[in-house]
Amino acid sequence: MMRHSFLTCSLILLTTTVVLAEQTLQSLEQSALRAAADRVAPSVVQIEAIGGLERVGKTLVGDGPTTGLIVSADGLIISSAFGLAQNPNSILVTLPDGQRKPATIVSRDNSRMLVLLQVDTDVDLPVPAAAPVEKMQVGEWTVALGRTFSASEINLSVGILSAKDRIWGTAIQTDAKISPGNYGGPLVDIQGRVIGVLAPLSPDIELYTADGKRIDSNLTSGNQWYDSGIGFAVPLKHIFSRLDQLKKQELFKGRLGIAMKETGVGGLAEIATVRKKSPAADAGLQPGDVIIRANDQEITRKLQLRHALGPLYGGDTVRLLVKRGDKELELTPTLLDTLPKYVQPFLGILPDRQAKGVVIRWVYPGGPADEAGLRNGDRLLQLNETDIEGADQLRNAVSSLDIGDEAQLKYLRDGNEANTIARLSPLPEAIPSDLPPIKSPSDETPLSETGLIEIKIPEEAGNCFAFVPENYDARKSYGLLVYLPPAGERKAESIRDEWKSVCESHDLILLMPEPLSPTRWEPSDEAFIRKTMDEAIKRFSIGENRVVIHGYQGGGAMAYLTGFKHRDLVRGIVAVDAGVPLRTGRPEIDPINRLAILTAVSEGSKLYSRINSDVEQLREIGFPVTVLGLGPEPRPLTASDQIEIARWIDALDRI
Amino acid sequence: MALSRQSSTGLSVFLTLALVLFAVTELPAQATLPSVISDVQPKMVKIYGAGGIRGLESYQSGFLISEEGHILTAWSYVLDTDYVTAVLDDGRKFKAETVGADPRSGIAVLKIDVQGVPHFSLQDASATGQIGDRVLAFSNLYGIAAGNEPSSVLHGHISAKTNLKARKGVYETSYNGTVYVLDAMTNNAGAAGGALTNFKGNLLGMLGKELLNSQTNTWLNFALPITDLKTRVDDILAGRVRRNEAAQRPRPADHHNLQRLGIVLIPNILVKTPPFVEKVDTGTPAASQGLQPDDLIIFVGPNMVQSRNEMIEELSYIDRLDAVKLTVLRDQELIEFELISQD
Repeated sequence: MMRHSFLTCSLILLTTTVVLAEQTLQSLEQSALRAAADRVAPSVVQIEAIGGLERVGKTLVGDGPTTGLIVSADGLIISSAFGLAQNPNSILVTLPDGQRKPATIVSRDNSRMLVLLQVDTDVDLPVPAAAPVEKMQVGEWTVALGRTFSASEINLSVGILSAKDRIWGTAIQTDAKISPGNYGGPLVDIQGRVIGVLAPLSPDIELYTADGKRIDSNLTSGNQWYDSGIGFAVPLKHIFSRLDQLKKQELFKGRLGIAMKETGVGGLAEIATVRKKSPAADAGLQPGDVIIRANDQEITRKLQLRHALGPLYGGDTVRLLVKRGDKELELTPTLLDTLPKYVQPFLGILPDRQAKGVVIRWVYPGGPADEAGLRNGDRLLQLNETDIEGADQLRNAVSSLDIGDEAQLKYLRDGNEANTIARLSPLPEAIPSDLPPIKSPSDETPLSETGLIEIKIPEEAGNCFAFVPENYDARKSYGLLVYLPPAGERKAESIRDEWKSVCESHDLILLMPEPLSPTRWEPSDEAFIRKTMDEAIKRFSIGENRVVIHGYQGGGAMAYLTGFKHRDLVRGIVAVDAGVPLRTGRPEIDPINRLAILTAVSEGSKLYSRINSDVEQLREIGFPVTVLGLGPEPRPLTASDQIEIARWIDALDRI
Repeated sequence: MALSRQSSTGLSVFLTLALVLFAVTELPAQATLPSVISDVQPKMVKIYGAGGIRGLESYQSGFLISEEGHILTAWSYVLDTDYVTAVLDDGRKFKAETVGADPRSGIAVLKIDVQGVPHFSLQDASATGQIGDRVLAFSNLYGIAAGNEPSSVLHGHISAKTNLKARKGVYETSYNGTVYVLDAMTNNAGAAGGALTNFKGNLLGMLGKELLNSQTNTWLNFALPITDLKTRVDDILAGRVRRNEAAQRPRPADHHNLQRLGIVLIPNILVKTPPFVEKVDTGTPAASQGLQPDDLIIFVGPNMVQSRNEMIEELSYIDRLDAVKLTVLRDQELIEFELISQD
């Protein structure tokens, strides 16, 4: 009896203490988080932008308030570039005490999408303490603060620290809800110290803005993750450490000027090309070098090198330990904000896709190879005394040279070896007038599934069809033409009917993803398009140098967006009566992941002048841009336009 | 040994009882989170009605507010049919009649034929939330729950308290009043009409309809405070149609305009041309107070004007007999002016 009552009592006690503990813990946590937020709140300001570019397409952008964080007692305020993307005429800052102050932009940290503002102040403003981010652990509480709903009261969202060293080592990650409601505001730890400044970062970096200015991150792409449980903040500790530098100059991500060998994600950091006049070239890096240490970080995979270089700015020096053959060398390049303009050098040949090694399928008339006396059918043996193993290797080797450089070539013709010298020119923009067709290895066509084939992506709702021409021969390599119609009109059958004969005559497979929305392409459809391309490449015999996205009007803008985003896959963009979407960053030249552009436009198009300025800009960056004139009035493509485009695609594996 | 053990047991019992008593008196109505949730669930209702066409779901959420089966929910197209079905937490299915609606605040009251159901008492609903408070959101978002399945529970915090209408043109909402902005993904399809409670299970608000911020193209998660909805629900139940207070700002018959003040702004070249002064007419209030070309007008009274059109609109709310306070930005300095009409 006694024992029974004891047990009962203990159980009651146990339950009650658990309840008590849970309630206490919950309310203690709630008050602690609120106290942490209140501690930083006096340093959180509201920023309002007036004027500037408001209209982007049909949407008005960003004149709502955004948030900033005081970083110096004399009035320096850091914020996210997102809220000030429209280049405002004027900026007003409301301090927590209600005072409104005009602010000027002092500088930008482009690699982290931050803007530094200055307001005049007679009193010392409160500067928050920075959290020791290196000691923090994933799972700790974080509170994200903004001041967008009201100037007098902060808004907050709560989460945990999800990861450190994200976005190539520049940011930490939280699952608190991060959106335009708090971009530019602080992410605070439970002790009321600032971990970082919230910014819509995205791993897609190294771009130009729509007006051609170089930036490092896409001003809008990171915002696609708003409120998703993935939010980023740039450590305040880092900002403090570079504040003096930032006050004096705009900061950009530091550029080295190398491209890595395609060895898969886990591959060594082996250099494939070194860009002429780049820090890498000046420091003496060479193709074939393997980077094994960067500053104090051991590098065993190429992604580690990207992480090691990611946080560095132009002007920073990096100590690289390099393995060259049996030797180890230490080289110390000083990174640059912007690399000297690079234009892809060109030898002037198309390689025979079915031959081993490099046999010339076609010599560009008047091109460097033609001038050097090379002919169709010649086999190239050596470039500058290095053996040529295949087309990709030769293409990379040529990429490391410069326009005007001499390429010494050893070749085989009718069983005889000979030598010649070609002087490299820029990649041509004209479409070859006629190309020799590629025959099937034998007359017997193996059986494969042809015609319209549905491409199903299990986790996606979108529809997609591929058209495989009846004469498809899996032993040949095909170009992949991804066609993006203007949303809402076209059906796969009618697109196929238009392209059928060209696909048959020019070895093309047509892929037709449909937008998810019945009325228009959304930028987020890019991920679906990518998956359909991956699936098509898995199923059909596709030449990796001839993956092209083609779109008409809205579909053309989508083609640019998708092509710029998936540089590792897309080698050509064909845009008909379409410009680069406004606010989409311009990518940069990548010698390994080449990208060529063909734009078809008529003088009567509403977009005529915009497309012209796109062409100018893309050429200025160094892209080969082919312009196909459609005459005075806008019209759909004719059969002969399609053949031109097909020939352009056929020549994309040029060297 | 035996004795000492007994006495220590006796002592334990005493201590235990004392502690239990202490704990119980200290925390009269406290409960664990699971018990709070299971207490709220029976008050939740799944509502099915019109919709089902592309992009429009035919379901939403609601909760019981009387033991005779009154249900508070969001006013929406889902109710736009003669056949609205309400499914209770225990799976019972009822045809629901619409008692009334207040489109301006976006609420409707339904009634089902039932007695003695668990419900939230609006008379007693006095809890309010503060920024940073932990909250629970109950709803049938995405229509996941069916039959006697309990509604989905999300947890989060009150992120902000704000009046959405105060942000001109940013949110398309007719609700004029403070709302709770939440940091959880509470306002997805089907969630409108759900209940927001604190961690004690006290009703704080009703989840609003999906709402897009037209400036940043981002969706907002929010709830309408129950303390504000109470009187509107009473009005609906009493069959009163409340005239909407403060719906429109009064516009005086004789109000200010740019011409009378003597201000010429730069022409409207953009959709939102900033209100830059192009010239100031001599002999006008603007000239006598010292406004100059190139001044950028930022505030009219307490209200920020971000474009020429907003400036013109703001002036139209000020009676011509009243002074117009302007704040302008000139060479990175904020300067205030007070203009008084001369005639």
